[in-house]
Amino acid sequence: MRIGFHPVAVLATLRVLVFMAWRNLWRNWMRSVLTIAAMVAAMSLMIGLGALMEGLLRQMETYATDLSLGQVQLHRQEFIDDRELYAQLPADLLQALEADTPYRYAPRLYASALASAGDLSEGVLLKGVDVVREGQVTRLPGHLRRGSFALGEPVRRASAEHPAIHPVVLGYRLAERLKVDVGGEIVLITQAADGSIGNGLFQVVGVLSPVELGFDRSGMLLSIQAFNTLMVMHGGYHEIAVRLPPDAPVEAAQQRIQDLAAAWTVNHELPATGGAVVVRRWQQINPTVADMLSFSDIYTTVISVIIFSIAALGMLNTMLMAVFERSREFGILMAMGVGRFSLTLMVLLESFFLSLVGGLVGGIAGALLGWWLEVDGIDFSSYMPDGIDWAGVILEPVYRGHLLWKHVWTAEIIMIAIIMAASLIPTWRTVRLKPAQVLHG
Amino acid sequence: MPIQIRRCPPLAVLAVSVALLLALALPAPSPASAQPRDAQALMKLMDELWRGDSSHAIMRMIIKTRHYERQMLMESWSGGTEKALVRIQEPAKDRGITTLKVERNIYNYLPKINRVTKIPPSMMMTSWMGSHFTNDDLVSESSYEEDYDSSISFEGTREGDEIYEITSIPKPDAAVVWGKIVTIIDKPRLLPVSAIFYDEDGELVRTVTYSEPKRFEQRLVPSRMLLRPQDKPDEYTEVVYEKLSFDVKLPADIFSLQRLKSGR
Repeated sequence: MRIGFHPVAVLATLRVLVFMAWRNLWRNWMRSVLTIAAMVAAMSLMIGLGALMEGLLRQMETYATDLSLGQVQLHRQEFIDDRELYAQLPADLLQALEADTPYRYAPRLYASALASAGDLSEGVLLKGVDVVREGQVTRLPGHLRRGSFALGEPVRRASAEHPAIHPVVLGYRLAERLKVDVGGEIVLITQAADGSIGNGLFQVVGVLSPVELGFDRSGMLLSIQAFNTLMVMHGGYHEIAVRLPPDAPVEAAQQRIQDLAAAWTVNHELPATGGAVVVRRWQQINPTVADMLSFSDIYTTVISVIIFSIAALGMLNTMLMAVFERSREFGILMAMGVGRFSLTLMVLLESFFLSLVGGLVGGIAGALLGWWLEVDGIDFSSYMPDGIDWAGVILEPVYRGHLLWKHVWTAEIIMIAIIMAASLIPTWRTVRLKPAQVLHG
Repeated sequence: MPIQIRRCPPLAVLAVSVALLLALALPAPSPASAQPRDAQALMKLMDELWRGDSSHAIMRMIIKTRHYERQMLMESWSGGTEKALVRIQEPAKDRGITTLKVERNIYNYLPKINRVTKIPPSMMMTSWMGSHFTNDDLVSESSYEEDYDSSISFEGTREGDEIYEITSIPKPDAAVVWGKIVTIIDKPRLLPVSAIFYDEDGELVRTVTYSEPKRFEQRLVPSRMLLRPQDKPDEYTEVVYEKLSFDVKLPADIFSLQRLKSGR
């Protein structure tokens, strides 16, 4: 059965080898099944892990951009450096950007204040938002545990006898710390922009679901109008968050906004305090999450190599055993004139079939596992009803994966590659067999 | 003379509080009284003069900073060095905001939210009503005599004016924010001219100058006081006294928290 050079002869030999390898695989079917089971487990684990990782990353990115960041943000340099109250972006700039680009913009204002409810007081971070625009850029307005996001209209208008009462929405931990709920009254005291003591009455209309650790503890949302009344400010913004159309490239949009802002500042005067207008994409604003996203690919690959190496050890064991116990058989085959190359090819084919069957079943099992993780997820809500704070990102209590085809085929390729690499060792033994020696025992 | 020596530094410190007014409102001494005395005697005399005093004033505060410029019209009452009440009359949005100083405590009453808040110790060095005076300036006056050692560091003619220069150094265990205060006094009229504040590293922090002396009920008092922080030369806070009267009869509970809370 020496392989000749005639194509027909080569094919015929190959057919025989394939047939023999396939039959050999099932001579000790228990061993093969166990090996395949190890591979299926490794594959499922790998695909499931990939799906969970992807789910985690998507949640992180979603939290990073959908809830508060947006994809691009504008600030004045001094606001980034010191949260300088007077470092404002003029309202005209926002209008210019809205007129010239198809993006959505949400202006915000920030200040710190002392909030009191009853006898309890807490330092709070005030965030003035434009209710309508905020909803076009982030999911924050819908991210409520209780109540509503009705920040637009005062609860009570100012009159001769009474000052106005403006609505506020609180971070959930702040609400717990102040022991207030929807309908509760809050007093805010702060240093206003004109140096006076800014003070006012507010009513809680909503409590947020977890957003981010710091904001949960001290964040308080109010309308930009209410913010400006309290802080004695007029018309500027500290931050403008931008939402791009789906799948729009972030860097190109950032550049476009940067160019527009630069052009605008040539023809218009910026308020004296604040420094340059800075346009950043979310990866620059939250590098932790961005780094984690880019690191995750490496991480997933390293984990998969480890898992498959373990599976490969099982494979190695199987094939070594198979080769050892058939030394005599191989000797006879060689004595009968089967070439070393053919024999080696047969052993390799055995490994290949084994990994193919393992890969097929494992791929299906892994896809099913990933699909289950995506649909049902792992429910931690009985242990952690508020979710998990992980690296500053609040993860939802039900951990859902996200299965991509990429996960299945990369697992498939990595596994077959590692298994084939592992099978080179038994193959090497086969090549070195000396028929006379093995036949003598 | 003794009186001025002890009094002038408090003036500088106390810009806003009415206790300051007391200090400003010293009776103009006759030339005969302007005799050098030792520091102990001066201090004692000053303490005695100070006690039992009361005053009532209308003053305007003009605040100019890099970010804002605003004016407030304020009415104030004081009783001794320990108690003072300042109520904002203008602008309308801040009308009725009242600061009560009792010993080392400061309370603000905010009429819009009908609340009294006590300034916590951590906020003592922050601005009072957005001016360049700190909350600490309001309270530190009352402990001035016990916290500083003062001596006449110069007496004579400087730039054509006859002056006393008094240097006040905090006592070793005094919990004060200044490292040194130098007060210049117009010798013939016995009126404060300026007070210069240094921090603990000897750096000049701020300068207070007094000008436009006016007679309020027979007493000659500088009617303008201007504070300039050293690190922000374009900024200042100025206090102008529009009315000032002494030894007024005050309601017994005017400096009480209860009355403050009632917003009267």
